[in-house]
Amino acid sequence: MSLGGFVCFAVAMCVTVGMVASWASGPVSRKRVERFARRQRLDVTATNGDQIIRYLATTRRWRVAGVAVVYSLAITVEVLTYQVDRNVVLATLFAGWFTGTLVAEIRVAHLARGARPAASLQPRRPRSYLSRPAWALVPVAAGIAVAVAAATVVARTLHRADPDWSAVVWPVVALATAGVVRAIQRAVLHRPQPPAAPDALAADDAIRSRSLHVLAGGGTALVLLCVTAQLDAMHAVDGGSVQVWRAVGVGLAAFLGWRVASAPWPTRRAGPGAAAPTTGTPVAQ
Amino acid sequence: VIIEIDPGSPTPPYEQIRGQLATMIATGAVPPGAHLPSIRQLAADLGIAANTVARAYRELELAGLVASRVRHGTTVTATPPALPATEVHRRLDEAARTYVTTAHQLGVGAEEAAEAVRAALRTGSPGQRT
Repeated sequence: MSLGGFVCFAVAMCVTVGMVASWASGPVSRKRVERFARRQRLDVTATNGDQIIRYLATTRRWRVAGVAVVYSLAITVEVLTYQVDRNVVLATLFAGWFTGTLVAEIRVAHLARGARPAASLQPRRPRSYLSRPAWALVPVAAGIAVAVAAATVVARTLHRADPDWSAVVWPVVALATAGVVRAIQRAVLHRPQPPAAPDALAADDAIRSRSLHVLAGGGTALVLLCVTAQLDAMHAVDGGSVQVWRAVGVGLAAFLGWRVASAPWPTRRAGPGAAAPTTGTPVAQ
Repeated sequence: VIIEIDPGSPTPPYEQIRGQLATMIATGAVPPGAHLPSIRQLAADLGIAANTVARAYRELELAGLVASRVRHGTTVTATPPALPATEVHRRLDEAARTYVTTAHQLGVGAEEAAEAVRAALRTGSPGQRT
């Protein structure tokens, strides 16, 4: 690349990243808050409104940061190597978005503890926040990755094909992704929830539920995208039908991920421990 | 049902948790068969080490009040015999005397001290909030 071209490219990147950063740090729109409340069937009150806005701002900031970083890296690599692959860019952008999501879930604020630490004795279980099938999706996707890897190895052995790195790397990436997503799902489930005002607790439960849905949907889609990449190794020995399956798999993974991540889920909050002294202000993000 | 930790108390946190849970089980506030939160959840909510909660659960298990099973968590096994009325009164009297001593040490009058108790009863106390 010539010096002039590189300077133009660098300026364009800076402007793009600056515009994205400016948008990501702006106020959260009322429409987004209302959509969140509608999905969780949550009443937004003066007590929990700020809590929800902070959550939406934190997740938006980190997701956009993930996309911006990965986009910049991908474009830089493509410009330097003169190779453009739209499929790789789209999958990479999604991976960046999801990486931002994972970081955001670690950074999301939890309710502040009072002067005397207190806790409800009500167990927090996954099924309180998302459906059983949605909770099982990530391990199932990891299982599919293992099954496809085994099938690929068998097929390649039978056809005496040459070793292919994608047959080994993608299953490992898929399993690592599933492991990280599961660990963060558990961290979200065990995020501190000290006693607080009922509407603050309801908002905290709604946030937890939305986080678990996004992690389940996004994590499953990412693991399944790794599975479709594994199919490249199969393609060498099985011809065109694998490419069709791959295209179908990408579409299904994207649809399933979006469907699970955006699924409505009424916040279930009842019984003991629901009400207590008000301490409900979010702390550090 | 809520449990609290008093950071200023000379009683170790694990003993505070054990004592409150034992009392709640004895009074039926936590009924037999009820699932207790996981060690990790309770530790996160209280902001203490998981080992502290694990020790409290272990002591409760040794006392036969709870049972822990892998993948099923910790459940209350059975309600021990209810405390006799005399024992309830003795414990209440003991707690009241401790409170009065503290009020005297703070130079608080009888009416003000009684009002503080009434206020605490109105807002609820550990193990009674719902």
